[in-house]
Amino acid sequence: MMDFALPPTHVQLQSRARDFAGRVLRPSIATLDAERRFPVEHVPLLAAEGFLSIYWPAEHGGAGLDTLAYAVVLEEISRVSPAHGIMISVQVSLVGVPLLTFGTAEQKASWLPRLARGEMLGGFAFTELEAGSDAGAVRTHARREGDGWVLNGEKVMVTNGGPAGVFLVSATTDPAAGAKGLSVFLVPGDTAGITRGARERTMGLNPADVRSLHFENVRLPADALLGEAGQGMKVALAALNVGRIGVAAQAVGIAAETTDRAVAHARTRRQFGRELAQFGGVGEMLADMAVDRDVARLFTHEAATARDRGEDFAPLAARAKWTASEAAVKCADRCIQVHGGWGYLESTGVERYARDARVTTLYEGTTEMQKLLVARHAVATGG
Amino acid sequence: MDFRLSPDHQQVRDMIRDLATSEFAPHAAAWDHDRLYPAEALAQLAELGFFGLLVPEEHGGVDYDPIAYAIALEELARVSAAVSVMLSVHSSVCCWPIATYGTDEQKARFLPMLTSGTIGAFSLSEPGAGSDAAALSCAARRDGDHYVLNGTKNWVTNGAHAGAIVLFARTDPDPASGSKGITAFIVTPDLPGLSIGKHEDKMGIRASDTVEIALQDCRVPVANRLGAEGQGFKIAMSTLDGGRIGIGAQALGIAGAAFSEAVRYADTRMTFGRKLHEHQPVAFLIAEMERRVAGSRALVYRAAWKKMQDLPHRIDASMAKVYATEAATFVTHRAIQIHGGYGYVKEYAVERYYRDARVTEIYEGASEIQRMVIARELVAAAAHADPATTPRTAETTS
Repeated sequence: MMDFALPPTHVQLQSRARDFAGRVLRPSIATLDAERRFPVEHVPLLAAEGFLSIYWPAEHGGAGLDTLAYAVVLEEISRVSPAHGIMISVQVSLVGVPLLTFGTAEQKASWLPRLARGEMLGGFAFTELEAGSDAGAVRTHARREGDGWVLNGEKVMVTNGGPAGVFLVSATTDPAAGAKGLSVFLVPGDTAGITRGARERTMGLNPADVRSLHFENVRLPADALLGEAGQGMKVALAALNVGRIGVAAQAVGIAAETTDRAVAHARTRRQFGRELAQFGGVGEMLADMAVDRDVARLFTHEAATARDRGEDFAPLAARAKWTASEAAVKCADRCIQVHGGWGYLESTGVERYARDARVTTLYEGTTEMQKLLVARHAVATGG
Repeated sequence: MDFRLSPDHQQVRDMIRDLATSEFAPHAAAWDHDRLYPAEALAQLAELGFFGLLVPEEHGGVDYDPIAYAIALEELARVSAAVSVMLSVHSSVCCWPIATYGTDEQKARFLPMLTSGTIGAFSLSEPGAGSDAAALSCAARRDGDHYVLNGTKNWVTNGAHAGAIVLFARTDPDPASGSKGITAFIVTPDLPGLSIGKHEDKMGIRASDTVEIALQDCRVPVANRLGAEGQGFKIAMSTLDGGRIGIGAQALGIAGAAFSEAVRYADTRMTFGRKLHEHQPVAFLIAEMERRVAGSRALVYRAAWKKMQDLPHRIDASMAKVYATEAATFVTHRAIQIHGGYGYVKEYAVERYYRDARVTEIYEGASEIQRMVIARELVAAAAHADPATTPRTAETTS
């Protein structure tokens, strides 16, 4: 049956996440942003709510919910702090999905419950200086030595790079094979030979900890390999397909919050003897923001529910990620416009959303990569 | 939560798609080119019950739910936007207000006739009153058992063949009475003093007739008044609320058809040794078209679903209408671009889709009116929120 309503369980979860975000995140977000401080104290609190393991099965210590729940929680968290949103999404999808899909029973047992309890965070180290969207161009190298592996190379733009206790690292195990030679390793953050670079000074998402990782003769045991050698692209795509639903939900949170704030300002602020919202030009901006927000949310929920039904959701996730991220950028920008000069002041608290939104069209696959995926699918299915 | 059509609705879709593709598609280009009234197609639709989509069974209708209704208009528009709009006007803005606001006597008098194949029309616009409907000036003066109507109405879709027209006139001659002075009537073409004027020669939807109606001392029995005196504006607005989802569905159908044509062409046509869609700018166009069609579909069916659930849906209907109609113009325009010169000639259907799409942004509330409605609804919702917190929109649905 066609049904656009959130199930009652998810409505409940939504209000729990909303309450958490308002109670725990809202009081500290302005300071965290200004000081670029990673909110390490929030990790156990997020874990206690089950937000660090939303759709992981309970048998692995997860919250046992579904992808729609993941989207609902990320939207609510990101309304207040998109930086927390990405911290959660990286852990739940980019680290969790590869482990759940390709991990052995031992690998799952040794990492998932600890990650779910918030004893450590996970990081996803795939991007390199010369390998961004073109993940097959990775130069980080893992060579066999005895039963194990020796890892050398450098990764950049690793979210949760500082605090993470475990990383998924892509490396080529067969440089001649290109993308087919890519493999993924589980690397504990405290392994000898790992050096963390300095925190990147990002434009937005200031509380997020983003940095480079340097691997020098890092010795890994045989069971550090996730899946089989040469399966790396498959692992990466599995992670990113779900991750894109997370980024989409994060972006919907930004679009929704900035739309509401613009409406709130426009209906109270008076100029020329009437409320801003009474001016047709302002009204059109508000209407376009709300439409963009709604389309973004519809696409995001469509992708999430398709995944929950076990369908091919990758093209839907690409469409949702692209659309929601563009909506977030646009809504955040329009929100500043509706606020006039006040929107440009940090103290008003809306310019942060424009800075935070900007990265959503870039990471986990740029807009251009999503468009290619959507187009390929459209051609393959005959439009 | 599930955005897919139910198996029952898929059946409705398949049935209408089969009918439209096999019976109407071969003629759609000629209807358009020669401005032919598709009488046989309409008779066929009436025969199958499609003239009673929004009419209860007791009055001869088939009483489609809002989702099935949107499916019908979408599928017809994939083949002929003109047939789709004719049925939309007949159903949404003629049958529906009569079934909703009519007396038992009016329902018995008009609905069986309308459902059995006589087309209906709606007449609100005037040369001087379009989006600003409250400014209409057509006068209705009470005279015993009759009202005497004088004035000119225009843009009346289906007007030339209509057996019943829901028409709005001013019963309070004081222009200051604005929207409160307007009353709805059901007029019929046989009334003395009513004459059908000029037939518009339009850019698109050319198979559907659009006429002017002149009223000169036209005597309309009081029994033909729809609702109370002064209730007309409210009837018009609630009628158009329903019509908007229908126009959104029509736009979705046009866009979907143009998109399919564009993808098919991009997958066969070779340039510079590659298929068109293998050139990145074309691939990006296809992606942009795909998401706008998908966005239209999501918004149109969300609005229809909310209507079916009896949930408030004014903002949803306006969102569906403005997004889907602008998407249709965009998608059909780019479908021509992908076809290159071939898109500009009538051998291919995409130029017709483009011409047909253009009006959807205008009629039953121009885009500017939809955005105004959306903004008002947003502000009203925020005003109801708890002032102690950041006001937020309700979002227990997608």
